[in-house]
Amino acid sequence: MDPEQLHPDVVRAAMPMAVLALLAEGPAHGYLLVERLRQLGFTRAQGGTLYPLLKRFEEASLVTHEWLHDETGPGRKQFALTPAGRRELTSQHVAWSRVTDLLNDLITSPEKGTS
Amino acid sequence: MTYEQQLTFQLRLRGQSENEIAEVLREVRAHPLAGEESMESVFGTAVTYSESFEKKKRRTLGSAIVTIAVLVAVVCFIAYVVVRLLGLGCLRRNRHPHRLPHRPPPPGLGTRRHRSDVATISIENAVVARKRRVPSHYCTVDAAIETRGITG
Repeated sequence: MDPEQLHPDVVRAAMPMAVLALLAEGPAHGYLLVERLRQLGFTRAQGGTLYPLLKRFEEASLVTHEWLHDETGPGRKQFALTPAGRRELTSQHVAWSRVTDLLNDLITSPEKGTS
Repeated sequence: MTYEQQLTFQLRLRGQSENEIAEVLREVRAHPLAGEESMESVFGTAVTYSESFEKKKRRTLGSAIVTIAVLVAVVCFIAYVVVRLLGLGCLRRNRHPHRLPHRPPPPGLGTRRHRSDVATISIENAVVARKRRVPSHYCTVDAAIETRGITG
């Protein structure tokens, strides 16, 4: 595996928070989110993983959507974060930071972790 | 079958509503495909992609009607059994409140059967009256005894 690529398990765990974080920057449609995720290192990000995730977010009222129609084409589904989504992002960020700190402590000083 | 048809079929199998299926198809159509990309390469096979949506129990109008009909049938059957077990004895006791209590036929009548207890008692009285040589009030019954050959 390319060392630059994120581990699939990490991607699976981090993807929901990454999507919420991207939507916190502003409303975006699915294709744009996939592009941004790929730029961030989620190289395997696909519509097949993103849309079901966004649907679950919508069911949990973390995200809303709006269909934007151009003059031609099928239209674009634009997603936006709700206040509940922002709170969820904050809470996930806190949890992720705690896990990161714990792992850093464990790896940098193994004796402390086992004592 | 096209990718969209396969996906529709798979989503129906997973119990998604028609509105939800329409929304998924609209998303799939709206997602731009670059260069060599295909719907299958972006979303996975129809089966795989449909599995990322929650499986639901779908309740159609027909299944709702069948469920209600079965419930009504079960309730009716239980009610019938309960009435038969608990209520019938009560009903039997009160079915013919006007009927006279059963009396065994007098010895002279043997095993002959009469249509009602009232007729039996009338004939019995007529037979007794004849034995005692007193005029019977039951003239018609008396005549009936004569014609049927009943002896005291």
